[in-house]
Amino acid sequence: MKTNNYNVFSDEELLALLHQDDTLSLQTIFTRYYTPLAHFSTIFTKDITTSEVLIADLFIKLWDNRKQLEIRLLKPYLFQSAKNLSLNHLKKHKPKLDTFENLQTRPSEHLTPFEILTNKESQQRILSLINLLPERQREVLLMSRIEQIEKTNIAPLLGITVRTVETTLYQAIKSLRTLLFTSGKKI
Amino acid sequence: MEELYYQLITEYYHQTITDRDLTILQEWVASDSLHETEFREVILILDAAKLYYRDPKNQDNNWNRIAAHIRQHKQPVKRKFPFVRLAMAALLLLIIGLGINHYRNYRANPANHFAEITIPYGQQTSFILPDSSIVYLNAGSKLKYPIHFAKNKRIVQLEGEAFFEIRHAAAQPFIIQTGKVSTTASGTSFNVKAFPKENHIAITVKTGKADIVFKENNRPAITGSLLPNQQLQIDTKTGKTIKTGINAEEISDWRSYRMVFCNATLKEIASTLERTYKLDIELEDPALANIKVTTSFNKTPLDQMLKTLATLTGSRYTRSNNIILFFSASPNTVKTE
Repeated sequence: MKTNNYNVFSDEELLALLHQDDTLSLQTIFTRYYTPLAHFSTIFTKDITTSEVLIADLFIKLWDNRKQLEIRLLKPYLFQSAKNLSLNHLKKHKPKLDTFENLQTRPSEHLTPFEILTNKESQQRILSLINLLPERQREVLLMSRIEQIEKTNIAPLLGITVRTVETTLYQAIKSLRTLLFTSGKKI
Repeated sequence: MEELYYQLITEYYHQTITDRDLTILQEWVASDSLHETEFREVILILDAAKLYYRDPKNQDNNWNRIAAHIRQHKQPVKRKFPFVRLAMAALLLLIIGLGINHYRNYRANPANHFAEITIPYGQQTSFILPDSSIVYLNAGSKLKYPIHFAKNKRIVQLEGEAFFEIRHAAAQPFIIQTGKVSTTASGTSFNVKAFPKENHIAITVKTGKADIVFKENNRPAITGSLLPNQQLQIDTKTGKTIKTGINAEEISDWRSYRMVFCNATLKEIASTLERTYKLDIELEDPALANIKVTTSFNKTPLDQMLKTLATLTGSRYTRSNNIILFFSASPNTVKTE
């Protein structure tokens, strides 16, 4: 791909090029952020295909508005826009639902907590339990798993302090450990 | 676990931990096998959370769509014409007008007046709803419903246990709300058991079909359908669901004081008896609460039932009027009076 030599540019340099109608800079930003933005958007939409369409729309808007936009830092702008687009989408469309059948796990009353942790199913179980966390804990935990997003990026996206991000992440993991333990033992 | 160590574990996981902190973490993990378990659990959760994300599959297609758009719109989009603003202001006025109208309709709508029926312990009842559906409401339960159902749906709210025989009306689905779970049917008979105290909801379909939606954070999250003789159990605390085949006849037999307990804990059975017969049952030894029992009673006299339960759980009981105390039969724990 021709974008190779553009990869050395920083986000803000690309932004300046974009301002001058440089399509290659748009493509470079796209390649750099498409996957993390799509992942980020699925935190809200819970469906990767939907999120991919939304992120493509985001880049079309970025191109259309390149002259008007006054963006200082590209990354926070992209993630904030992705969040807005995803939430707007949710207002218009109901989120995709998991079915009980998909989430069914085999009865596990015979497992000890240690076995649960070493069991292959446990990761699947954690995944289904993540959606049961309080919304804020779930968002922070999932956002922290995207490599391009640092703690300092999460805070403004959610309108909370970095310290609160840390505490919320701690609470999310604590809640998951409790859920994992009780759901492994009960019924 | 203390937040500090959890912080260190995440830093370790991201390989941003300092040498000094790594030593502290290693000492903490080595000092207690419980710490080691905690360490392992946190790493597992961090690992698993990453798997939440599916890889995008349409990156190239989506770029092509963007590229096509760029070719068509080389020039930045022009500013909107001023009359657009005017049109928007007119639209806003229109929306406000509609809103006021809607509010008036809402006030006048009889669907917003509710009736509430509460059944105390030791009783049960059946009655007919405004749409001719029949409800059997069990002891210790509450049903709230509008005096006139809306045209497009029939919504009722249930706390406790009820058996429904819904009159068929495809255009007007019948929705039973029980906390996070709602059950939708158009012409079906089924049993819903959802006592708020128990963190456990069970829905059993006898005839027809019921659709169930489980909400988290006020948004639908899980859904599924039940056919005759299927039961869905939901743990409302953990969201864990179990769907099983079951004899629906037996589940709804509480209406004739026939009770079937299949692999139920003594605690569950005790709360059912408490509600049905207005009793106060205490389990002296907490270990008794989780003993599982399978048995059935058919209008059995109370003392006979208590005797059976005591035999099955290896316990003994004393009864004075409506107060019953179960205690462990082993000599070490028997209380001398």
